[in-house]
Amino acid sequence: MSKQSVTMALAGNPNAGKTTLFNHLTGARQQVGNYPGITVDHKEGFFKHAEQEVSITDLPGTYSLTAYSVEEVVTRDFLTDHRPDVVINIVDASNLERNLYLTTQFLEMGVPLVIALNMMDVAKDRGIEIRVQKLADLLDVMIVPIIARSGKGTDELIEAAIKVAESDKVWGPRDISYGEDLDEVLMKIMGTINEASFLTENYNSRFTGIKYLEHDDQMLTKGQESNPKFAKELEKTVGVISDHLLKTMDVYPEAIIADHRYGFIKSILRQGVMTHKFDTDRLYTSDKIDKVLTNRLLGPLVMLGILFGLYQFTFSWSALPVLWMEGIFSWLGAVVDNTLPDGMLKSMIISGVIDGVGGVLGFVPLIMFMFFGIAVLEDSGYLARVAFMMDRVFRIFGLHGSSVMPFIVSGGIAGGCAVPGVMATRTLRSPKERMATLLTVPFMNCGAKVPVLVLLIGAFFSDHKALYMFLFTMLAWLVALVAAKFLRMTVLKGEATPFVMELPPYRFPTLRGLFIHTWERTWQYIKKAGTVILGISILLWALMTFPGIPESEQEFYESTREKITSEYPAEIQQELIHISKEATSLSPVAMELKEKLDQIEMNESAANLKYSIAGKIGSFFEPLSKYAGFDWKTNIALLGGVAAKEVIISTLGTVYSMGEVEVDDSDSLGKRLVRDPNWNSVVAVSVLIFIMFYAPCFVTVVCIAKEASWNWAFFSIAFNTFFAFLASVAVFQIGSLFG
Amino acid sequence: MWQTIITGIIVALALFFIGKKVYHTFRQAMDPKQDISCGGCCGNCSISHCDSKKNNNI
Repeated sequence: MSKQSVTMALAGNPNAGKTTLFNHLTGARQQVGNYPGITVDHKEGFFKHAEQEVSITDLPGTYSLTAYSVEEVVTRDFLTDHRPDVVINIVDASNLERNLYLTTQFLEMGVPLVIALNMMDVAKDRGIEIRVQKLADLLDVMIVPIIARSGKGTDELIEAAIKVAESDKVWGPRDISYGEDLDEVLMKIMGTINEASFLTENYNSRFTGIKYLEHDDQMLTKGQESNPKFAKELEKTVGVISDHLLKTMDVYPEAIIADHRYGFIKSILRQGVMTHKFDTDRLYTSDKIDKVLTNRLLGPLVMLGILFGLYQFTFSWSALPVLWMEGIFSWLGAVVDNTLPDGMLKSMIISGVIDGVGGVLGFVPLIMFMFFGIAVLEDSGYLARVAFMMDRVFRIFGLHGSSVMPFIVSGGIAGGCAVPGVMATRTLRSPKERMATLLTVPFMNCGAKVPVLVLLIGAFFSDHKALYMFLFTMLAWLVALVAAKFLRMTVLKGEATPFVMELPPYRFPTLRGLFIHTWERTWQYIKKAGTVILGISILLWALMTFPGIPESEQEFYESTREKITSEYPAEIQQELIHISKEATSLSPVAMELKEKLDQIEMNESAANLKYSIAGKIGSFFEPLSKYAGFDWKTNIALLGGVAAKEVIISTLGTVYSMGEVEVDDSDSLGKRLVRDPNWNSVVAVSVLIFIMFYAPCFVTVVCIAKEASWNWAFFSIAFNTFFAFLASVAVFQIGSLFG
Repeated sequence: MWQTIITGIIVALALFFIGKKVYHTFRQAMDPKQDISCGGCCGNCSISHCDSKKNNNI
């Protein structure tokens, strides 16, 4: 009888196509590819096949089931704790031998298994022919050839998986010989494990025995927790055979086990399962491309060129849509201004919401083009090459190759987020390398900093936007690496650990995949602007509005207004009252009066802002911040940016909006900044540098606290802010000297 | 007057929303089984218990 619901797990080597298959099956939105840091935990999706509900979990890419890394632990724990009805082992047909290494371990574990033989097209292109049925017979497992990218064979795969899930077959551990010495010990260990029912609720005795022989740390801990006395005896037994092997063969049991697993695989493949049409040493297309793109000299140059090209593409293609967005928000402000009577709500909607959040949303087209470009780099496999090339540089600065991906995830190319970047440092095994990475990833230009950068670069360096964006990106990397080196030479001293990285083959990105990735990230940007940023903007508007100017000063402005108005004839005053909004049709005298009244209102608004809570806080820091060129208004925005960096824009938008009188003829925020005498290109660079390097946003700080400790989180706030301020002061002071 | 009342309600709601968000983030930080949610989800991260991911049904 068929089950109503089936649980499946998707497991395989990194870059075998798991995520692509997972996306195809569930329609879930995930990243293509699998590099250190992308998939550390499992992901679940649902779909319906015939009448059956299928729940499928995408496990992290892993090469083995021995607990050497977080991915391996997660995969193994999922299989034992959740016991899916069937495991779909996705195997890269073009790298069969290496991929089957994991398969042998699933067989040892005794989990219900189906093999999805993916990338049959790539294998064919490489002249590899696989006799699928022969391989299935020899492994005694169902194998379905598929091409995950196009979805070919996936229906057959799911049918096969459901068949296995519903079958009564008992999946015991596969007996693979590990040589005379180990086989004998393993038999002995299995006997005692079964007798003592040691960990047998989750693992078969053979698997436990193998893991003990492999000195699997996690298994040893589990054993000690379960039955300390027996675990100790077992460790002793394993210790004896380890010593024996070390003395007689100068080798550890785990090496012998690995050798025999490969021996098992080879023995299968040599039975006519696989034939090579071409010389196996021939350079494949990806390798040929890599000869140029990862070349020691040419590679970095190409990389810089691509990065610059990405910014050039982003700025040039998004220029017009960004103008449209500005127009829309300007029009919206005018509509509200003309519809609502003067009052608090109107001020909040115009200054807090439209000019605040609108400033952030105005950059949506630019963000979209940038994400599209980044998606192309990611989906094509080029980003992995960036990581590969950066590894050489990273070692010089005391960081590990696995640190590259957290940096890229955090916004190394612009547009990431430091929170997943901090989390991605979990892949680093050396605590000191991890800490150095964790503390420096917030220096990258995350997606929240991008609109701030774009705003200031667009306002003050409009002729060379892409170039400045490129230079600021380079600066972020340089500062992060120098800071890491400083940390590694002082508080985080220690040896560097080696790094090996697999480069996935280049692939043509699919348009669908590119659009999904672009839209998804853009939507998240819009969502954040419409929720968190909106909430913060409203609160900051309140802080910028209350308590307002004292009554005495209010009376002063009122009396000045009355005094000036009374200096003009009654008909001019009437003209102003009747056509207050149609400024262009006013007579020259009425226009003069209007300008004077506008100036008073502007002064009153500015005074109101300065007397507000936010204004007082901003002014409090001004005696110090003026050395970096920041006035009290900029200080308000920078303080707001601690909540989330986009808030800097919304706060500046609100601050400058509250000083304006007429909304319908107001400029964009960038133009308002240029008009402000307290701002110039030197101040803009100083502010940009401060924003790039000062305290991480609130969520990142909490994340650092969780991943490291509150002490490190506070260190990060203090260290980054202190450094950023020093750098900004230096830039402003030196820049001011040169005019 | 009505503008002041509506503005007061909106500001109170914003305060509640942001306060809840801050509380939630701290609660996640204290819970060893939870990961921090960055608020925006591109799927490009290792956060399995993230609310954004749950909402996106990933």
